Amino acid sequence: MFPKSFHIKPILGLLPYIIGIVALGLIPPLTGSTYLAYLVGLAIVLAIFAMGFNLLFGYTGLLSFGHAAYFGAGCYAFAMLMKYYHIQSFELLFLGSVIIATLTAAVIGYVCVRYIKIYFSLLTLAFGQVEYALVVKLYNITGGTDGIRVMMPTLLGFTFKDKGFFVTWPFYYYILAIFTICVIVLWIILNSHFGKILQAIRDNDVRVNFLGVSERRYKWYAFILSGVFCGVAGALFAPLNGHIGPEHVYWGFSATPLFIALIGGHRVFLGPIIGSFIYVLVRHYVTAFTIYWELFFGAIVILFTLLFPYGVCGGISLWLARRMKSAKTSL
Amino acid sequence: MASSKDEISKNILVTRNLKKYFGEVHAVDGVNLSILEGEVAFIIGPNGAGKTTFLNLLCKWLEPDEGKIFFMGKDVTKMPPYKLTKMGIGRSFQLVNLYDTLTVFDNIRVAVISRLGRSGKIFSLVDRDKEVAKETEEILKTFGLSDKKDLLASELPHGDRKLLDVAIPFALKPKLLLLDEPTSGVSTEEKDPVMKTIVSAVKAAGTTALIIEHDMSIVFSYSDRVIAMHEGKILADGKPKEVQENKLVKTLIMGE
Repeated sequence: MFPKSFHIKPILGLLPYIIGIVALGLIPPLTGSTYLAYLVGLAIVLAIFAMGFNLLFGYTGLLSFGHAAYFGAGCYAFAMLMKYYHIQSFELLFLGSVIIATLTAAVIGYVCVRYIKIYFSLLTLAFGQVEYALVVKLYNITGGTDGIRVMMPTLLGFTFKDKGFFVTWPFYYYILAIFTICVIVLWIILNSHFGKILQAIRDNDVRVNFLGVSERRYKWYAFILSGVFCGVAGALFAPLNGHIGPEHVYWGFSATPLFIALIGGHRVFLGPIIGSFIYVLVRHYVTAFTIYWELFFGAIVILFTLLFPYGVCGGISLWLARRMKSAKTSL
Repeated sequence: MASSKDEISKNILVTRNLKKYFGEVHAVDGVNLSILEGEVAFIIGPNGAGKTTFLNLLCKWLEPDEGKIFFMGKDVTKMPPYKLTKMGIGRSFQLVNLYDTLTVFDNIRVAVISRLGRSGKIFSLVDRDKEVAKETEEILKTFGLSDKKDLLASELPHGDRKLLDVAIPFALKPKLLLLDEPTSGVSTEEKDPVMKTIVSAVKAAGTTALIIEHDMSIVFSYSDRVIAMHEGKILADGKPKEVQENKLVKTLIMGE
């Protein structure tokens, strides 16, 4: 059965988050490793992406196969605003990219939420591929399959010269700060009145109409919100990676947040976050000894689906619930 | 047509020549019905009489092929279900249809959130909303589900699931409550208490109710008015006694 409650107990529940954020904040001073900072930064960015995706998948019950489109919209908006409009300020670029990604999600979502189940998933996939085709074909402005190089933006008006320093220190903390804000905002949204309605939609989308709630409208709202988080992730990814390409819009990339959510646990708030760190670590260490990392990863996903259908966090949550024999778990 | 207008304004619900065909099957075939505010009316009829289809038309789950529906004096024939629900029509389902991975408490709570117009509150913690919690507790108490509020809806025994299924639309404080076989699948000894809980809750709230029910003893002990349907048409309509005495009802529905 499902864990009884996915709520976080106010005091005890906050502790892991605070410890987690502080631990992440200690990585640059303790290691000074640019590569590690890049990896952790990547995990955080993918965590934001997966959190946005999971707002739809785990909480609203809508499986999108085209979420790379909104992540990609964020990436490309960032790179293109920088390249063609010569904007240097990260804050402005970030704002612009998130707005563009959100608008993309709003337009595509408006159409998709009119369809249910597999038709919804296929439609999101189709729209995602349209965006991919546009990115590849309009190579004069998008750089086609070569993608676009992303320069270092200025942070709060400060210019940086050294890419290694940029990624290890200022931008790392910038990402961490935005991540913290995203976690808090998402947590509030999921525990709000609106969040409860989304969970009702997940369980029984027809019946919410008979609660006086427009199923389509609320699905659309969830879709847009999901797009905001994906846009944030995309806009952080572009300067972190220093390069973006059509692979970040491709439908294969849309499966990444799904993997992450499933590994971590799509019914637990922490799930996509933990899942993302596992994903990045596994991917990193497996690519080090074999190029067939996808094969290995496929095996992990199969294993998880069979053994831990609610992911690592869901599994721990269930285990704790049984141990404590109490109705509420504290994940 | 002054008399027709009068009737529409006088009654909470009026249907005019309501029709729904599924291919050759005339599920609902020209039903004219008027329900007064505060009535507790039962719909009886054999399987396939069109009772559920009729209810589905009233809450706009199904689109009627022909005819009109007036609710509180307003033509609502083209209204989407969620708007109609907001206007005051609540319904339960024949096959229990709950939010299975939510707790019993949350099943009711989402209805209360919606009724209070707080569904769109995105930055306020729902657990801190005392008003919503209080109203949810009241509904749970009315339906005797208070001690099971922390269970998941899927963990409830069948009788309680049926009660919860009725409690959800009831929490919307509807003006008109449509209940589709609230006691179906409930054991014989549980039927009477379940119906008693429902009817007393409905009467205490002064809600108008239209209830589909198969069990005749229950129908005749709890109703103000009985509507007998057969092959998509209304066969008889009146006080329980009158309908019980009706010859057509006796032969076609009671099978006497």
